Amino acid sequence: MTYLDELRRELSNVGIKGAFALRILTEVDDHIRCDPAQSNPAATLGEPKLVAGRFADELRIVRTRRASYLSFGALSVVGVLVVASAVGRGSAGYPALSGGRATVVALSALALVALAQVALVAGTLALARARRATEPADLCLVQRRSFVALLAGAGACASLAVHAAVLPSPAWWLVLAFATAAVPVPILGAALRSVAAARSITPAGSGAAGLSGDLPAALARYSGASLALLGCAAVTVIAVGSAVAERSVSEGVIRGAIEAGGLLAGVAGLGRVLGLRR
Amino acid sequence: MRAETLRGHLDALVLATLQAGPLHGYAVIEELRERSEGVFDLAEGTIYPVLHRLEAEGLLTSAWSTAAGRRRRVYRLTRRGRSSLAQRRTDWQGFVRAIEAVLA
Repeated sequence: MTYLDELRRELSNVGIKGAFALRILTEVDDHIRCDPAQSNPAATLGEPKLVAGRFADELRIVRTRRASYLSFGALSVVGVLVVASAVGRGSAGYPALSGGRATVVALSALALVALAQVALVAGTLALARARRATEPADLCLVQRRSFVALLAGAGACASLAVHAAVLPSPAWWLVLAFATAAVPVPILGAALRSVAAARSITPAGSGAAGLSGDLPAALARYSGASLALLGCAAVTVIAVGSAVAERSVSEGVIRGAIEAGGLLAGVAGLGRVLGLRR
Repeated sequence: MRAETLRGHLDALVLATLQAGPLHGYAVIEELRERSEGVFDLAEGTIYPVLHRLEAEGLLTSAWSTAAGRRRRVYRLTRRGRSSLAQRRTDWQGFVRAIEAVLA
């Protein structure tokens, strides 16, 4: 087995495959041919296992960071488009609906709001940890947060498409809504691929710090209280905003309660995955 | 020189070898060896991962060329890479002055 064959195998073992592995092998092949007097490449280049490991070590941090930035960028596009669609639909007014159609419209709207919030929280948490992450456990957490954020973003787009398909709407809004659902798909796909590429060269790690690892040092001791405070702030914004927009205190209370329930369910269901709790 | 001693400075050294113009991996290693008069005789396989990372960080860019009938990846400094090198040079000079002041 030649040095290049061994290196190919070792690169594959650390998760470097395909075009990127081919590029490395082409460069190393050129290197070996530059020095034909050297009969033992392992002596000058290093053992293939060490070289492959060094590639993974050098690249996993920068790839993870880039994946989190790309994910947040993709989700920002989704966010802007979804907000534009929501504002546009609001201005067109809502018809009175009943039966199954009303249920689907309500559920798709609820899913859209919930998934958009999951995407925002997970994407922001990924960015927050990406700046500091160097160990595999933290890098895995960043990748997991980015992955959840992208899935939630894709889910929000799908919810919008269902909402638009069921809710009788002006033609211009249908075009806007379906474009909003479809345009981000390739961007989200590219971001997902970048997360997968970072994941492939990161060994499984455990023991990442919880929310305390995302907060400034002064707040790190109060991570639970900070989380509760942020949750209360979100519920307040939703409750007051809804009460003002709908000119109804009871509507504000209902939506605030729904938001609080959603937040509790989110922390219960995704808290461990997102590193909010151990 | 011990590899661990060099590791913290490898990025700056690699960037400095590319300041004069584009080079491929083998030439970077040769340049490091020659300019250090043989002191920086690293395991050559350590340079390629560093080149890839510096490129991923946007400090280098690279492109394929052909030499002696085979494909060769040539690296060059980006504008960010030049700024980073200038900053690292300033940091290093300050560090050396401080060390000398203590050791003298």
